[in-house]
Amino acid sequence: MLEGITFGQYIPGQSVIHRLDPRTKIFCALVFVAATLLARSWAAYALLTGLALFFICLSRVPWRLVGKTLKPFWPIIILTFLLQVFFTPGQAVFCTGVFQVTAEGIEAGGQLFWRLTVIVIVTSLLTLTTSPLDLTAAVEGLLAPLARAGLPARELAMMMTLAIRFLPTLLREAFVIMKAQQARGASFHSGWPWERLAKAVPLLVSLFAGALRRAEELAAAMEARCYRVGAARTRMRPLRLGRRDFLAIVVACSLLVVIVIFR
Amino acid sequence: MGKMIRAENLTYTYAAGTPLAIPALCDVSLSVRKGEFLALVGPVGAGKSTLVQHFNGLLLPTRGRVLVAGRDTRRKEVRRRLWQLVGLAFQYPEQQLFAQTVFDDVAFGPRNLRLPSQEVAERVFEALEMVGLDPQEVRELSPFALSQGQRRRVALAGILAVRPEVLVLDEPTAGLDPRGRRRLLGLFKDLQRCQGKTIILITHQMDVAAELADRVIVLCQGRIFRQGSPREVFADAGALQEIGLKPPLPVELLSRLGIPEVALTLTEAEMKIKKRRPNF
Repeated sequence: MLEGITFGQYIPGQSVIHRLDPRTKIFCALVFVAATLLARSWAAYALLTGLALFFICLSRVPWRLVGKTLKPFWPIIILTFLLQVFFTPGQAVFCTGVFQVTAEGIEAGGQLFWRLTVIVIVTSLLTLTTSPLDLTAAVEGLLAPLARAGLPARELAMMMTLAIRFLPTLLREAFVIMKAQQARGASFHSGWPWERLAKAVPLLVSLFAGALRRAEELAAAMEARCYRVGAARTRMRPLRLGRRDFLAIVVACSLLVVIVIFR
Repeated sequence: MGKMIRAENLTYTYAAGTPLAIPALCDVSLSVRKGEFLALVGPVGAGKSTLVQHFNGLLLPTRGRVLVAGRDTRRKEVRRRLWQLVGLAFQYPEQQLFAQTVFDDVAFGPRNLRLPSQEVAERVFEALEMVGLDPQEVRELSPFALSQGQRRRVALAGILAVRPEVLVLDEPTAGLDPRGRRRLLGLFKDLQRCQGKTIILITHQMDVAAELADRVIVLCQGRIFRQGSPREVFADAGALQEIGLKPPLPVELLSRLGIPEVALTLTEAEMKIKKRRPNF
């Protein structure tokens, strides 16, 4: 079950995409998402789909893993698709009872389906190819201009780092607690949904107790290392934009321009 | 004596089929007899905890198979009842307490057995007494109000209350003081001797393995490195040191004194030394 969770997981590698500056990657991903939302023509769909697939190839992340990251999103994607199909007014293609499927609905639903899928693929490619540490460094870098306006960018980045750092730890702990309760006869995989929910309560109690204990230990450990809020810190490996990054930014921007013009 | 647990060519890989796959166990074959006290030792990361989770069906082999009381753990209907037969105490079990009172926590297992409340209470009291807690005193307390040692004992009571045939204990005495340690180890030995339970104990203390176990299995990097009686395994102290284990004190003592014998307890070592060097 632990192996089932891939969204936000980092797959180490040496590909071109892996070696891009994380700030570039976040920027390009945002631009790509914007382009996806703006696209309106078949040519634009084809271009963006092709590019998304091309990026997966470039990153050398196994296709299966990309597919797995999509898995938890299917219910949302399919639900929005169905809502669009059934509840868009227009020319009816066929009717069943109160529901009617319209041509406009199919079109709108299909568009939304495609957009969500591409967005999930591109954003998960970002997290699959960027280590959490780089990701938070990039967030800090991108928020730096706002720090002058009083936004606690460093603290936000630190909170993000800690959250990401402890996600797998807490997850592992949750699985250990689940296993310990299974070893005493609890079954989490059977019963009605509300029964399963009731079984999750004792799990959460232990998990929260553990998380609070950890938070206290961590605070003590950080203070012991002289962590202070608001102190200026330097990085061991400062982020630096290379030629590759400028190229990527130029490509992303021109993509956006092309989509805006020919959408 | 029947075989309680058999592992045949057991191989287990974490995250199998992804680039993050980590082999944890490799071609492990072993068997545990009914009523035996088995010590499982090995350096950190040898796969001990992974191995024992196969014994109650929490993990399934990537390759090979595990039989418990002759039944294959890969079969779902076998796995569903396995927890009643094999009780597993994880490392630091006190961190897994969850109920509002000690009584409810210990009663979790018996209640899952769907026993009448009368018998649930009986079992809870018996289990708490076994681990050396006064049931009347602690039953209404919150587990979080107890000391770490007491919480550990509550957690173990929760497993004993199910009355499993096999008791698997993953470093049950880590972080306890010497008295608490002796107490618990004494309890495990008693359970084996008086009630005929099968005990599988993971430990980092070779002295404990030497003193209590009928048989010792040494795991190293997911493979069986040595297995046999404590006397056989600890006779080759050099090999154990090579993989980073510290031989039991009595064994080390005799080898430093140049006596080519194996002693499992300090008393035995003392006798052997006196025999060789009467005026020592």
